[in-house]
Order: sequence, then C-alpha cells, then structure tokens
Amino acid sequence: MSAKFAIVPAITILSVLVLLSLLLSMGFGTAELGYGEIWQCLTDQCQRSIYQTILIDIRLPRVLMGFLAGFALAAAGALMQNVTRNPLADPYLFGIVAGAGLGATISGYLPDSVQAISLPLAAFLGALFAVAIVISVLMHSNWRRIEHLLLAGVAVSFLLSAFTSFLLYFGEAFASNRVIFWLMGSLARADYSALMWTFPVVAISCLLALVYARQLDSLLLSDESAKTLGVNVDKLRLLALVICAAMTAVIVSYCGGIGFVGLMIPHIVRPFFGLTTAKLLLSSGLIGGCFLVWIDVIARTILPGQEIPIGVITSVIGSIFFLFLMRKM
Amino acid sequence: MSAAQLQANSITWKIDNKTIVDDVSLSVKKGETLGIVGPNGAGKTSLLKCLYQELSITSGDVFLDGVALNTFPRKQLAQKISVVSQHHDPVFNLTVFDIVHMGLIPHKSFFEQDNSEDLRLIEQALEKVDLTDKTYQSFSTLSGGEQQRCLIARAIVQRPIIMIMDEPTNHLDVYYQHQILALVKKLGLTLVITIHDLNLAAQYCDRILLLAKGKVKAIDVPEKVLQSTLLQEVFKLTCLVDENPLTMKPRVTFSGGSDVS
Repeated sequence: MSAKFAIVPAITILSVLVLLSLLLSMGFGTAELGYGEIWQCLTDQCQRSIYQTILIDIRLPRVLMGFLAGFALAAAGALMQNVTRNPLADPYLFGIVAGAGLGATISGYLPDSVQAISLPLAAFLGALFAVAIVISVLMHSNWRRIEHLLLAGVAVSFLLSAFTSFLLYFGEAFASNRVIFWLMGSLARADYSALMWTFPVVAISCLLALVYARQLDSLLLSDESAKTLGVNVDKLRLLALVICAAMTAVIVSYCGGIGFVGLMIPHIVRPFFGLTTAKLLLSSGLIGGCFLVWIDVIARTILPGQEIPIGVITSVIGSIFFLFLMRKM
Repeated sequence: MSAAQLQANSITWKIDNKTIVDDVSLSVKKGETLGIVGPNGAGKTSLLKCLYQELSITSGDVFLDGVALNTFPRKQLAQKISVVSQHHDPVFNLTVFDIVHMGLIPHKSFFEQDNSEDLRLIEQALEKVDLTDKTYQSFSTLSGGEQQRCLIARAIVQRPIIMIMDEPTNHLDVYYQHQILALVKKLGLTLVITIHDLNLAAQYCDRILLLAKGKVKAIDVPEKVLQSTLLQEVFKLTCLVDENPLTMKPRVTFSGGSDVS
C-alpha cells in the first residue's frame, strides 16, 4: 500500500513498541532501582521489599497512566483534526485546560469536608463547563464554519483563565502554588484509583469513535459530500467532539495540563499509518502513549533528585514542532 | 409517457425572502439524461440541491419512484441517489482509494467490515473510470478530470439508480469534457446534470431544462429547447442555431455582446 504500512504489520510494530516502552521505562526513577533488580523481582523475589513497593505501587501506575494519558490525548487530537478537517485542531482548544484550572482553583476554596473528592472531580467539572460553553455557542451559530469552533475555544480559554488568575491573585499562596503546579502537568498523582476512573472513559470513547469510523471518514472530504452519503453530519460531529472532550477532560483532571500531544502526534503518524479514522486513531493513540511514557522518564530523571513538570517538556517540544509545521504549510 | 423515476411538482426554494428556485416542475424517466442549462445565478445548483434534499424546499413535492423524497431516511436515499459535486479541496492527503471507499458508507451497518465483494466493487469502479494505476495516489495531486473520475468511481460504488452531477465538465478541456460525459452515459443510470456548454448538452442529454431566474423557460428535447429566440431572450446575446454536421444535433453559436438588439 504505497509508502504506508499495511494494517497487520503496523499493529505488530506498534504493539512491540508499546510493550518495550512500558517495560523499559520501569527501570528509570529517583530510586536506584535498575533492570537487574527488576529482573530479579520478576523472576524470583525482590531483594528488598521496598523495591516491590516502588515498582508496583509507584512506578507501574505512573507508567500506565502516562501511557493512557498519551493515548487519550493523541487519539482525541486525531479525532478532532479529522472531524474539523483542521490539521491544527487540538482538544485543548476547547478551553478544557482553562476550565479544569478554574475548577481546580475553586476547589481550593471549598471547605475541608469536601476536599476528599476535590481536585480531579472539580477539574473535570470545570473542563465540562468550558466544553459546554463552546458547544452551546456553536449550536447557535448553526455550525456555519468549523473555524468558529477553534475561535470559540480560544475565547472561552481566555475568559476562564482570567477568572482563575483573579482567584489566584487574591488567594493564599499555598493553594495558588498547588493549582499552578497542577496546571503544568504531572503524572506524580497517578495511582490505581486514578487509572480506574480514566481507563473506562478512554476505552468507551475510543470504541464509540471506532464504531462510527466509516461515517467519520466521510467528513474528510466535505460536509456536503458526507450528507449525500447519508451521514447525519451535525449529529456525528457533535458526538465526536463530545468524545474528544470527555477523553481530554478526564486526563486533564488527573494529570493537569499536558499540551501539544494531541496536536503533534497525529501529524507524525499520518504519513506512515494513514489518515482514515480507525487507522489514525489507533496508531496515534499507541504512539502518543509511548511518547508520553518516555517524556515522563525524562521528566523524572533529567534533574537529579527533582522532577520537571511533564507539561513543560511537551509544550517545549510541541510548540517548536508546531512552528516547523506552520513553516511547511 | 412512462412513469417518472424522479418527479418534482412545482418546487420552490426561498432564502431570506428571495426566491431562488421558483415553481419548478420536472420529471425524469428511468435511464434518461436531463441536462439543466441557464445563465450564472439562474439557480441550477440550488435546483439540484432541492432534488437531493441538501436544501429543504419551501413548497412543492419531490417524488422518487412515486414516494415522497422527504419520507426516505437519509441512508436509504443515499442508496438511491449519488451526487458528484464540484469543488473539493481536501485538507489531508486523501488517496483515490480512500475517497472511492466512502461509496460503501450507505450500504454498511455498524461494525460491518469490508468484505472481498466490497473490494472487488471498488476495483471494478476504478477500472471503469481508468484510475487503477492511481489507486493510492493523493487526490489533490490529480488533474481536474481525474478528480471528477475519482468522484464518479465513488458514485459507482454507491450503487445508485440516479446520479446527479453539478457542472461535471467545469474547468476541463474539450477532451476531458467528452470523456467524462461519455463515461457517465455508459453507466446506464438516470442522470440529472447541470452544464454550461449548450452544445455539450445538446449532444449528451435526452432532454434539456432551460432555467432563468429560477423559473423553467422550457423543458423538452434539445431540438425544441435550443431555439435562437428563446436563447437570445435568456442569455441576452445574439445567437444562431443550426445543425452540427458531425452529431446531427442542434449547434448553438453566440455572437459577441455588443450587437444585442
């Protein structure tokens, strides 16, 4: 199939890549715990019981969460670029991060008794709020132009960020710090309960998108041509956008702002694996997952004894990538 | 007259109180080719859109095989009518295969995968339009004629009974104009086509509908519609109609604009 990989070898290559990434990334971390010790843990018994705790309770959920977050963000980006026919679309343009940030900030003001549900849930509600504003604006403008979606998202982002800044400015320093660090993105919060919440959302969203893959493909040419093929374009696009928003919001709630993954990965994937929905979504997801796993390895090892927010690294790489992309277009 | 396959009864389409399609009635028989001609802004494309429900008509009825068009579910309609429209500029590098593959959409339910029959259908369609060697080439790198043929292949895969084409010969040189029209005529489908070139219309259409300011000026066989007085009135140019010695069809020649009476 011209320069592209056929579907079976493509999935084989990607699966190997995913397995290797997940396994190898386990060997990196602050604690001196290398492959030798891991091998011993796997085959026999850990040298010290603390190793088991580090591997199973800290590193494994973190690696899995990194993979899931990368998968979800890249898949959402792929879906969003396809349904808007805009190669620069990114799920973050919904104002999701700004909304989640506002939610997180407000949660800092809640009484201690409700702090248990606090940050992730509040961030998720904030993200949904942002998406709701964007989508309701679009419904009123009758979807006249797809570009409106992106512009509305930018406007909502600025609005909600302004509220957040206002609250943080008058808030106490400690709470403000917490929100600001969270906004920079980190996988340090990852644990099994976080995985339990995020995995089903991502899995269901991707399955739904795959069920509608054929119809989604019809949008790639033009709305009108999709309509003549019997596709209900408005409903389908709304569904796809809700799927993107749900995946992104749930990831942002637990991991904070990890930008540019959704923008960048589909571009890297398209020339090799194809641009129709099913192929693009799956391969973007798998590659995005591996990408974020390794970015997180960098984030937690590059400075000794200190962790860099993962969102900072993805933003640096992503924005440079973005600029190169614009130069080419 | 045998039963019409597609019939429109005094359809009107208005937007912002402006009437674009004005009380148009037409009928097309099975296997017939109807050409819609008229000056720019006559409402040709809008009329087509009314016929495939892209625009919802303000008043009137459209029937497909005797059944009101608006009672068809979207998907079923797409199994009966395929549309080849102009202006496609995909952002991503869709291949010819990707686009022809879309023709399967109206025939597939959720979870249904492509089978060997589907792939054979796509292969055959590409053969018919002579694009087999460009199957995996990017659509945007094709010439105008090839893009049209690619969209026709998609329409073939859609397996319709009626094919509606909006200006299929636009921007094509003479060779490709004839190639495209001869190609779609060979498919044996009912065709409704808008077309600018009156001589092409005379050659390839069984009947011609002359549209001006949204109204039907004439609808009949080419010999009856293409008459100098009528054309002069609609196109505001002095014109001469004689017989094309090669095709024995009416031939229309316009003079320049300055000597209009």
